[in-house]
Amino acid sequence: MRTVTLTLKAEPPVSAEAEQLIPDVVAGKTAEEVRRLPLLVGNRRETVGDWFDVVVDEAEAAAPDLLLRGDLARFKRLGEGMSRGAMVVEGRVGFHAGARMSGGSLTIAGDAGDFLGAHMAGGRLVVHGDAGHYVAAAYRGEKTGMKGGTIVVTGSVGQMVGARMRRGLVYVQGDAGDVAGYNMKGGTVVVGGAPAARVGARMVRGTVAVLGGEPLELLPTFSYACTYAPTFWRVVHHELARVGHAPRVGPGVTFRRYCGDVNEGGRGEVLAAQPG
Amino acid sequence: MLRVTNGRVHDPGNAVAGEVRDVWLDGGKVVAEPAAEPADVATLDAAGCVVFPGGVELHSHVAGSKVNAGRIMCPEDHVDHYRCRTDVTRAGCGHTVPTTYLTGYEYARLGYTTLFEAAVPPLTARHAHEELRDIPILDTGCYTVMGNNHLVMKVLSDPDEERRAARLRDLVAWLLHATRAYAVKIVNPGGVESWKWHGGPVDLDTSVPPYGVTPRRILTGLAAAADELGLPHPVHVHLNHLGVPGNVAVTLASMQALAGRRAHFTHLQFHSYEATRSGSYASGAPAVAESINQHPEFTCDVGQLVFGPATTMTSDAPMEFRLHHLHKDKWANSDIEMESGAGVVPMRYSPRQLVNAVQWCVGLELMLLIRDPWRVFLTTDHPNAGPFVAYPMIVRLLMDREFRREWLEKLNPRVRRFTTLHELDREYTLDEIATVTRAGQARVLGLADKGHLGVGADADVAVYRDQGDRERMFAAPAWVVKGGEVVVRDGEVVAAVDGRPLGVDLGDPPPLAADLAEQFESYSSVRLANYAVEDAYVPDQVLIPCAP
Repeated sequence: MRTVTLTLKAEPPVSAEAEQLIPDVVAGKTAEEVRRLPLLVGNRRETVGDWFDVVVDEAEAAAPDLLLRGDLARFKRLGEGMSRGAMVVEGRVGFHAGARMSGGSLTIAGDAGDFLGAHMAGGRLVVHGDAGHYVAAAYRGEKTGMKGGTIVVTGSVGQMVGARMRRGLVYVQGDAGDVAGYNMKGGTVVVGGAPAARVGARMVRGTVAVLGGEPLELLPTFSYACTYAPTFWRVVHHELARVGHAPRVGPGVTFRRYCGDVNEGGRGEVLAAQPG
Repeated sequence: MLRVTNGRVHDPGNAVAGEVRDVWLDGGKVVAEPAAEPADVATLDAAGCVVFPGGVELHSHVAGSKVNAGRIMCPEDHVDHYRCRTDVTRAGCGHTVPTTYLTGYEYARLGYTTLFEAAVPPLTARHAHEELRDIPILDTGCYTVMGNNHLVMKVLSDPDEERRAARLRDLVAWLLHATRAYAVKIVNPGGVESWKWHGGPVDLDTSVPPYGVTPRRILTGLAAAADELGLPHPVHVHLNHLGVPGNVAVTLASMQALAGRRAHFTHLQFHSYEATRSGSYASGAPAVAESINQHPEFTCDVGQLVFGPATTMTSDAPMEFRLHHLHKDKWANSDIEMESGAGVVPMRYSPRQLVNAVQWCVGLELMLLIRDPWRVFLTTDHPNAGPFVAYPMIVRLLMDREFRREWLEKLNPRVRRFTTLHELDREYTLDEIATVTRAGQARVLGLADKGHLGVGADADVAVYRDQGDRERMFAAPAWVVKGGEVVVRDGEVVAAVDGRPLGVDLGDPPPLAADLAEQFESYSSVRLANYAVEDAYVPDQVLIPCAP
């Protein structure tokens, strides 16, 4: 197993765009070749070697293909578009981490910025920390956000988690900001804590499952349908357990189901887990 | 002085068809070959190239409030389409609705040097001129939308025919002068106003509130006024029922109504649909093309559909409302007081979608069935049927029937039942391409100094490397010269000169009639004194003479 390890030398004074730093690009490259990869720092074209110490070595089988170390909060687009391999960041990351990724796994041991996993189509993205706004969302103007894959955030997320997502699974173990599941077209957002106001606004389809219990500040365009133990929750629970993040409520828990947003046809649902 | 030498010149305006000859440029004009070679001459060796006059775009939406609305509501159009600044160009972004500077650069990169914004309501004319001034390199002008203007309809409601014609002529002159515009634009005559009164689509003889005039009277009245004023460009008509199956009937009826008068029918592709028995789309292009063929007083542009993203934007607000309900997606709407409406809806045309495939075929059918290239012009109604950057591909479709057949194979296979494109073998020649992209457009615009390379013409030249792949050939000119200065080399902008605003010389038009001025002051949100566009917005406007 070959691992490329990049250790940040110093935090750049301005934001950098690092879409080149994905397993797809660094695979098979020598350390020198990785150092020569372009890096846009502010409006200047620099190289990876200007900002990172690069080591390529053989490692144990479980080691990632690409390991980044340091506080990368000013590095945007890390893991953007990756389609294979394993990438680990030991530190914070900036905006757009894992955006448009279609495969592989991206693990971030730190907080993430906005647009985490935006337009994601596949793979697994795990953040051991908090994430910003627009997790799994669509970029401005686009109709559809996340289309597949799994995102797990062990902390809390900002506003508009899952906005316009079409497929896939987002699990936020902590709280979610305003308008979680905005204009969802499908897929599942699970909020382990409590979502803030206007959850599910303009939902067309899809599910926002809230494990933190009621009271929920639901919009008047959602109406109570029933209390039940949905079969699909067992599947979701199993999947999250498989990736090591089993929700604290069990697979047989009952939910109160609210249908909405009636302004968009009322085919979406917000589920609120019932205690006990 | 600049000499373009060794190129094969295609100058249909002067009946030059591919002759190898030199083109001499000096002082911003084409000049005769000097008796002795001057010392200070710079030379562009165009061996292996074809030399065209600079391109002329007579119908595009590039400036003004609706274009800006399109930019604002389509950030997705910007993400993957941007250009960084260079030493000579500014940064810009946008694909279907580019920013002003990028619009100029991209048109210039295709060999275009003259550009007209096709629909400007008077109230937003100031904004349009500000944006047109920002567009570099190209000479620009705009048309004033009048087909749903309350003042126009009030005048047209006068039962006295003679007085009506005289008052309308004065009003049109006043409106054109107030907006510093180039021509009269009619958009869905009466239809926008009818929609504002909760009325349905209008036919040619539907009475339109609040003045009870009919689209027929609006069309014929404004066409007559344009003729009487001797405007260099005839009325520029966007007909009723745009995009509706079966609209070929109202298109032909409108042509019949305007027979004998000059008229330019715009984006005719959108107005040439027969209805199938199930109410879907079929081509009406043969009938429309035949009508154009029979009426030498008519010209048209095609509005060719381009597969991929587009942003529809028009003063035809009810059409945009219908389009919005079709897709339930983003929609912007604007009520422009007593003048017009406007709407914006982003679209994506797909070759597998039968309706889009029929539309694509209809545009090409019109281009191929209208025999006289001086009376049919290549446009995409940018950005309604697609972005103008697709012109090189459309040129290839016109010049290469095998390429056309390859594309036909990619379309929804049912399209052959409803169109005749697969039966057409015509291929455009380079001269015909030069005609439909510059010479013919300049002529119908009345721009005597543009669209040709005769002595005295503007020194606007596009040089393309002759190659079998016409799309590649027209996508990256070897050189583009604007006003005698090389602005594009190998498809890249190397100098960003300023273009000039174009207008019409109406002399000193009479002031607005007292009753119309009173109506304006009573109902408009601006005072009459603040209405007209000041000279500062069109500095050094080149005024093209009228010939009443």
